[in-house]
Amino acid sequence: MPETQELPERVTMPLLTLITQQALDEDYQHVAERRAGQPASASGGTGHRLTAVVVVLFGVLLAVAGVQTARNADVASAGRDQLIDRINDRRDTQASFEQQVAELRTANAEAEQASQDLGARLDSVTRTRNRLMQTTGFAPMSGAGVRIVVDDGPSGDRDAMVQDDDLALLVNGLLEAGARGVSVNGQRWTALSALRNSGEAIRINDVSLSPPYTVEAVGDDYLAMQADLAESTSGSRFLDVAADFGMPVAMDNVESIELPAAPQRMLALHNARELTDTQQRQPMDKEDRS
Amino acid sequence: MIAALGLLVGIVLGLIFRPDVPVGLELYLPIAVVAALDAVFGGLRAYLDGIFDDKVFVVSFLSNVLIAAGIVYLGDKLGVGGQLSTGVIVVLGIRIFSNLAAIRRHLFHA
Repeated sequence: MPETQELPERVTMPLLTLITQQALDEDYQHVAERRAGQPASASGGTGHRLTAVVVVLFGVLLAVAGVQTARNADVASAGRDQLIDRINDRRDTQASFEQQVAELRTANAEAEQASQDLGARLDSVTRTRNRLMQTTGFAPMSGAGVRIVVDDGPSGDRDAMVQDDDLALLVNGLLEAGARGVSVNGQRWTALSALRNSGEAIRINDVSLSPPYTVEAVGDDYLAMQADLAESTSGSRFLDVAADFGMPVAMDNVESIELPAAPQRMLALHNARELTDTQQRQPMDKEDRS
Repeated sequence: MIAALGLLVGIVLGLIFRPDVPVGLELYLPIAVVAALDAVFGGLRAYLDGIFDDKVFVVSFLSNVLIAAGIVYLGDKLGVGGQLSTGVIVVLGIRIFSNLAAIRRHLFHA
């Protein structure tokens, strides 16, 4: 294309080539050519002096730049040292925190283990307590059992009246026959209960009873309980006494009996003793074993 | 000879007085030095070529320094200071290299 040929070389040449080729200022060339035209002109002393001044200026520039860079390097490296120090500090802090985390985790695991152990012990103690409360009569109980109704003899004679001893014999006989819980006229018999005559009336758990007396017993093998009662020492003695004095006795097997809990006031602390270190675990262990 | 002496004197002066560069000009000093280097090597090459001229050298030195610093200043104001100084340094670096190559050819004939 004709336009391309008209363009000067300076325009068409690649940039890098241009820079390389024109590394020397063209002015030197121009001035040299002009001087070649008029060789008479000689460079004066002022020109040399100016050059010297410029070279001095260049030296100053070099020195100042070097000094400045060195000074800045000091500052930069100081900043760098400080940063490194801070990084190391933070790393130490982090390490100590990690240590702390590990310790806390271990402590946490131990605490969890202890909590589980305690929970297990609490469970077992609670089970033991529930069992003990049922057997001692301070928790309600239900189940199959035997209902025995005893009444005063028809003669109206004082001997024919049911006495505390008679009921106690019956209750003992039932316990011997395998009863797990016993109540008399709705009053739960407990290890702390006593059947006492108070005048004409019989009292249990500080409650007066009146005939007929309904004795209910819950037992695991309730079908065999009547027979077992008759065979037990206390039971047979009670039956003898009842037969002797003509007290009517009615026994029934009952599928479902509800025994109430004994009144809570009977749970009042009667006896206490200071726990010493050597004794500490013994009562608990005993209960766990039972 | 005069040039070498002048350089020495300048460096010694600079080391002795250690003038504090204003913070505002600190950015332009390195670029100015590179531009001055270019002018100096250009002058040295011209001297070896036998076409050295004092006026051209002085003018090219001053204008190089001022233009380089001016370009970086402009770049700073436009937000491309870093890139522009890179460009200036690349161009000046190439010129310095090819001037040095010419000087080397003169000195060692290789």
